[in-house]
Amino acid sequence: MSPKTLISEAPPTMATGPCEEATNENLAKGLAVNEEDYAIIVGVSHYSSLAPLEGPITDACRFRNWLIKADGGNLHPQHVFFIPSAPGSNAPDQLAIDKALSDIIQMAETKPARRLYFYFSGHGFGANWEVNGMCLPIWSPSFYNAALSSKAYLDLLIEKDLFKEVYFFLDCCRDRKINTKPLHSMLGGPRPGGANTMAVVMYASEYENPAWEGMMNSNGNLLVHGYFSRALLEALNGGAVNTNGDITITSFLDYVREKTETYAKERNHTQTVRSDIRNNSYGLDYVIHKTGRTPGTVLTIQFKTAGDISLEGPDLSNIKSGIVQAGDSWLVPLGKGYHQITDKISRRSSFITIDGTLKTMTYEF
Amino acid sequence: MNSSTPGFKLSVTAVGVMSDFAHITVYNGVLEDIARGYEQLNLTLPPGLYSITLKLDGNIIKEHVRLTEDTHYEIPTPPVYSSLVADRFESSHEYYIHNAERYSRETTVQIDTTEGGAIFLFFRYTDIDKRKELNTGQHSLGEGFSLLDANRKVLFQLQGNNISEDTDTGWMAFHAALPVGIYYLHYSGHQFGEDIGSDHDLPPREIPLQVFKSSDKLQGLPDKYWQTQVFLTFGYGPIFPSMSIFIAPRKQGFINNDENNYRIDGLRHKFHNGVFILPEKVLLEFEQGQWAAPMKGLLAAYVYFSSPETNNELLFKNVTQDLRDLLGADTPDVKALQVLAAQYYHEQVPGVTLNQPCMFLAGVRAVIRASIKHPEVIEDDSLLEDIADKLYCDMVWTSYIPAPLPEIHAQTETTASGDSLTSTIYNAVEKIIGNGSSPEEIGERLLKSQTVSTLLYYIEKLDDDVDINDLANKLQIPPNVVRKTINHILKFSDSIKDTESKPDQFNSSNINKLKSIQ
Repeated sequence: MSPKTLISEAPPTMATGPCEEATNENLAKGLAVNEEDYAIIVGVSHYSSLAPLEGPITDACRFRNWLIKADGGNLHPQHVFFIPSAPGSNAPDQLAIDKALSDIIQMAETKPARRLYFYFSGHGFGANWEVNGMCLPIWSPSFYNAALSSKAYLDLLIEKDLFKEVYFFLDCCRDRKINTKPLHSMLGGPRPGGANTMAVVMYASEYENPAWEGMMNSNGNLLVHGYFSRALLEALNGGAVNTNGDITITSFLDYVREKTETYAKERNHTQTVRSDIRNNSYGLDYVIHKTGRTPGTVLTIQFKTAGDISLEGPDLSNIKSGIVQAGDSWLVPLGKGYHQITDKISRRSSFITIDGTLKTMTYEF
Repeated sequence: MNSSTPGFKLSVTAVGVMSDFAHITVYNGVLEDIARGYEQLNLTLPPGLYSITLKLDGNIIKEHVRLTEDTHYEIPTPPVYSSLVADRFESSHEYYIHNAERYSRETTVQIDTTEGGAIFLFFRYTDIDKRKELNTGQHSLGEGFSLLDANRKVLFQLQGNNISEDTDTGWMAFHAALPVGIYYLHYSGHQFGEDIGSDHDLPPREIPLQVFKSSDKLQGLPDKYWQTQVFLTFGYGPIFPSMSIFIAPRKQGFINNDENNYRIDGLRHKFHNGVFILPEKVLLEFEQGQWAAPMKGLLAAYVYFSSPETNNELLFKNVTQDLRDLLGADTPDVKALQVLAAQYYHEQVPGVTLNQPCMFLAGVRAVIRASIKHPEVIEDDSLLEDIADKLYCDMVWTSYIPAPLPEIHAQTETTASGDSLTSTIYNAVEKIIGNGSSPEEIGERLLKSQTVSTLLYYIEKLDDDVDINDLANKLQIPPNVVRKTINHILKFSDSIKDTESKPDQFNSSNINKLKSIQ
C-alpha cells in the first residue's frame, strides 16, 4: 500500500497565526542554522464540544519561537511547521498534521536529517499506558476516535529511520477513556522499520492522570501555561543546564520533571511527568543543547529576625556568614543548586534551591 | 570524588507497605540525578547537600539531606489504596477482611461439582462512609453481574441466595466451586439518573476468569486445584481498573496479609502504568522455585516479556515452562504467554491456536499482533475473534464490550426467525454491532460501531491499493475481523445508503474501495 502524496500547498511554517513573529538571527547574518532539524508544533485551544483551553497556543508559540531563535533550537523557520487551532474552526484535522509530516519527511529524504521535534498541546486521553489520544478540535463523544495515537505517530517516526533523534512532547491529559482507538497516521511507506532513531518521549503526566494548566507569572507577564510546557521551555531556556552550561538528556528530563511537579504542587495538584527513551546509543549525558552559560541567580536574602547567619553552597563551602539584624538584607550571586542558610544562634535552618532560570530572586529568612 | 575528599555513606530505605515498589532518586547539590532505584539505595558520597525523592502510587515525598557523616534515612511509604483487602492497605477494614476470609472458604452457592477449582468474588467500597455517600439506597453490589460458563450460558446471577452481602458496610461475596475451565464475569452496565449524571454511566463489560488445575505430575503443592479470587472496589459503580485477581490453593482460600498478595498488587499496579519492574525478592522466589502464588509468576512473566529487559532470559524460560505445569498447558494465558515470549525472543510464533480470551490484556494483544501475519493463531468465528475489536484497554485484565446475555439474545432470535436469510446475517452482524430488528436498524448500528467508522475513515483517506493487513495493523485487530467487517458493510450497504446519519465516508467511491480489497 502506498499513501497519497501529500504536499502542503503553502507551508504551514509561514503561518505564524497567533504567535509573535520570530526570526532566526543567524539566518539574517548568513551564519549557520541547524538545517538538519525539523519540527511540528500543534497547539489546540479550540474544540467543538470540549472546554476551551487557554494554554496550548501560547505554549506552542513559545516553543516554536525557541526553536527558531538562533540561541534556541536555531532551526530554519521553514522547517518549523506550526499548526494552531482557531476559534470557530475544526482545523487542524489529521490531514493537516499528516501533510506537515509528509513535507518534513520529503525534505528529510533528500538530505541528511538530524532531529525532529514533535510537540502537541491540547486535550488528550489515555487509551492505555502507551497510547495517548491527542484530541483534534472535532473530538466529541460522537467523534470518539478523532484523536491521534501518540504511539502510532511515534512508532512511525522511529520506524522511518530518517532522523537520528526524535523529541516527542505531549502536554495533554492522560485520563482514561475506555474503548478508544486513536488514529494512526495516514503516512506509510515501503521503508522497513528500523530501530536506529533515538526517541526522547515526555508525557506531561502519568497514565490515567490529568495534565494541568494555570495562570503563571512568566517574567512579569501573567499568562496561562501548561505546567509541563512552562517547565519544558524553562529547561530549554537554560534552566536545565549543568555546570558546564550544557543541557543533557538527564539534566533536561530531571528539570522538566521536577519543575512540573513543583508547579502542580504549588496549586495543590499532583502531576508527574512520564518519560521514555528509546534506542539511546549516545548515553544519558548526551548534550541536546549547548547554552554556553553557567546558570546562576543574584539572590537577595531579607532577614526578618536578627541572627548569626551562615550561607553554604552545594558542597558545604561557606559562601557568606556574619551577624545580621532584622531588616538587613544580603545580595549574593549563587550558582545553580541547593544552598543552606543557618542561624547558628537559634539553629534554624532552611534549604534554598536555585534552579538558574531567574536572574534575580528574593528570599525571606 | 577524588581520593582526598572524605566520603560518607548515605543509605536510603523505603519502609512500609509496598516498599518494594517505592522509587527513590537521589540528587546532588547541583540538582543532578546521581542515583535511582527501588526500595533501597546505598551510596558513598562527598559531604554536601543532597535531596531524596520517593515516589509511590502517585505520592511524592521529598527530603533534603545535609551529608556530614554516615547517614541512614528511612522514609515511610505513603498510604496505599487497593481493591485487595489486607491489613496494611489504607482502604482495608476489619468488616471487609473478616468476610473476605470467611467467604473464600465457604461457598455461597452449591453445585454438584466437588472436584474442581473455584471462583471467589469480593466487591466492596473503600469504607462504610463511601457506601453511605455513594449508595444511599443500599443497592446490592451484585446488581447487573452474572457469571457465565465457557459457552456464555448464565450460571449465576450475583444476587439473592447466590451471594452473601452486607449492604450497610457495603460488601458482597460470591464463591462457587467450579470445574476447571474458562468463565466470564458479565456486567450489564448501568445508567445513572440526573442527580449523579451521565458522566458516570457504565457500559456493559465482560471479563474472562480462568479456573486452573495443576498437572498431576507436580509434587509438593498444597492443592492441585486453585481458587481464582477477584477483588473489586466500587465508587458510584464498579471501578474495573481497580480489579485485583489472585490465584490461591482451592482449600486455603484468601489469607489476609499474605506477602505474595502485596507483591502481586504492586506488580499489577506498575504494569498497569507501563512500569516493568520485578523486585529482586520476586526474582529470588522464582529462582528458588517457590510457587505458592501462581498469579505472581503469571504477572511477572507478562511484565518481563513486555519489557526490553534481557537480564533474566533463562529464568523466565523456566518460569514459562513451570506455568504450563502449574496452570495447565491448554489455558489461554499459558498459550498467550508462549506467543508473547516468541515475540520477545524474535522467534517463530508457536503453533498454538486460541479461541477464548486469556485473563491478561497483554496476552490478548500479543495474540492479535501475531494474527496479523499468522491469522491461524485465532480460531475462525471464535469468541476471541469476536471480541478482538471490542477490547477495553483500561486495566491489565482482558475485558470487552460483550454480546447481550443469552436470554435477551434468544428473544431477538425469535423475533427475527421469519426471514432465514436476514436471520443468518443478523447472527453474524450481532457479533460485531449487537442485535437489531431490521436491516435499516442494523445499518444504523453498523455505522455507529467504532470499528466500522474508523475503518471507513481510513478507507477514505488511504490510497486505492489498501491492504487488509495494513488496515488490521492500524486498527490493531485481526485481519479476519477486518475482512468480516468489510463483508458486513457491503452486505448492508443498501440499507445504509439512505440512512440520515450516514457519514460522508460512506460513499460509492469508498464502497468500491471496500469491494476491491474484500
